[in-house]
Amino acid sequence: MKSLFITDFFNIYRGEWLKSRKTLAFWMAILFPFFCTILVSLTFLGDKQIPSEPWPMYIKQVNNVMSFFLPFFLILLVSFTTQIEYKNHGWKQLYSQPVPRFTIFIGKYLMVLTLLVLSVIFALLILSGLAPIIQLIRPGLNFTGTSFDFITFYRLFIHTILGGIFIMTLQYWLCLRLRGFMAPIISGVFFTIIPIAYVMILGIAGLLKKGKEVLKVFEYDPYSYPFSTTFKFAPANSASTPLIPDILQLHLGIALVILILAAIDNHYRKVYA
Amino acid sequence: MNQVKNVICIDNLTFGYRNKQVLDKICLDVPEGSIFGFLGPNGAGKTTTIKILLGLLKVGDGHVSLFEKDINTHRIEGLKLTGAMVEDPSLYDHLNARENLRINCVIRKIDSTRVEEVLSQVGLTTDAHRKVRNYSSGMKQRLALAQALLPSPRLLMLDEPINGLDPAGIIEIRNLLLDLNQNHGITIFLSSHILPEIEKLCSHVAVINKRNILYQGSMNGLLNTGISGARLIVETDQPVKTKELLSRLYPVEVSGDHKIIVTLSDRNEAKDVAKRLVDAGIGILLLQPETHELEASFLELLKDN
Repeated sequence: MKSLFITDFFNIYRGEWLKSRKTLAFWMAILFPFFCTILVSLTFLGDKQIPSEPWPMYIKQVNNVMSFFLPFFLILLVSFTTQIEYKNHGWKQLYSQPVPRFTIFIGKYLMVLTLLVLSVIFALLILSGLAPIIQLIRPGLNFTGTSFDFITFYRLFIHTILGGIFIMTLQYWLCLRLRGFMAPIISGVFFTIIPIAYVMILGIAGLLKKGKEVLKVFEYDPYSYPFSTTFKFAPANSASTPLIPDILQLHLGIALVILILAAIDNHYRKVYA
Repeated sequence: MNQVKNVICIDNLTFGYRNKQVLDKICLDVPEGSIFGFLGPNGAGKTTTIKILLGLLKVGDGHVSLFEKDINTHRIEGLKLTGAMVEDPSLYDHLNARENLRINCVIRKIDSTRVEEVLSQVGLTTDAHRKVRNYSSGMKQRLALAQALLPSPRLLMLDEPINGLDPAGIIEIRNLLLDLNQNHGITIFLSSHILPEIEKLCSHVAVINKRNILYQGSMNGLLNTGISGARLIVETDQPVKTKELLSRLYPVEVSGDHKIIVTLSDRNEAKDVAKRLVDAGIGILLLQPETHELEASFLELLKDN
């Protein structure tokens, strides 16, 4: 029984992979890191300062830009992945397959997670490929003479992926419940800009005076949590910076609860389209 | 091996969406080996019934089983033997026909050699490389049918399978369904608005309207007996004498081609009609029950209810 469930899950996941190719979601997973890395590379070219160890700075800046756009990327990624089914009347075909409903639910969820991880892998490939080109244009940047900083990359991007899990999970549930394309996107954007608006209002009122206070607001809101990375300037590989901070653990815990509730909701869901 | 008598069994099924009741204690039995037509006007509850059978909607009150297995507790076992097509075809239009079918092969653990077999069955082999977004609605309908055939099902559930097909396509699909039923023993449960097609295809039929099943049984039963009693067409060598004789005993009317139509309260009365005509020395040229066109029977059924 257990092995049958795993086989069903694996088959659903494979099916999701087959249908995800050539979709907007798949291309987004490639183009998002490409866009972020190009943006950072251009600023690197124009920067007057030449760091002696360019890799950690380059990686951190790519991660910062990716983190900044991550909520919007995830909102769109989840919407595009689920919208395939609405657009092509796929839900009724999927849910009338002789497999447990949970495997369909979790298979698609893990497909979105896969696309997120893929975008990080693409980021690694693109920044590794672009660095020698930057060095050709600005020979002072010694990328080839120093080794790639895997620890910084690993710590920063693991943190980025984990920081996106809450957004991904809640958006996934919203997309399963709300049939229209725009409703989950508008909800997601609303959740993302609320803390920015909150910070602005507090700032104007003079209630926020320190950068740390701003950071705290962003940290506590899961949708803007990835922003908070942008404002941290401590070395990423510093032992004092935990890989999964307490607040991120809390977000992940809540995301797990949301995932379980969404799975239960999905089990009893009426499939109309 | 167990002999299954009814592949679909619905017992006292009640279902509603929020405040609107769609099905009210309906009962339906689909015998194995039949081509079962499910008829009803728009909004009568046909698609809802099919969705419940496929586990897309949860059973409200009542009992629903596929292959004698409760859909609530053994949904997967029932669906393993079922191929289905509900409403609009479920196809990924950014992929071609083969890729669409391969996804189903992967999910249902079906050998990928079936892809070419079903493509050939529905006549799409030469267009299989084209993206589905470039298909006509008829081609999409065929591909959806191919998808339903992929698992070599024992039961095919088809919701409006000939929608969007041209006349040649309709004939092809009709022949394919007849072949699947007669030569492969597949039970077919289909809903359609195209009554002449149902009449040509189906051995059994059920009519649903306003939440209730109005008729269920063999197609001949619906066509021959009608709902308002049996009618007998009589043609003799002495029409005037025949009319005089029979009008004393039964309600009689004369058709445009001088045939006499006798309304009987019981089909067995046909024997008496024949005996009286023979005793009166009238030569019988024709004596046959009036068959209703399905459309007429269908409309009469809806009118009466």
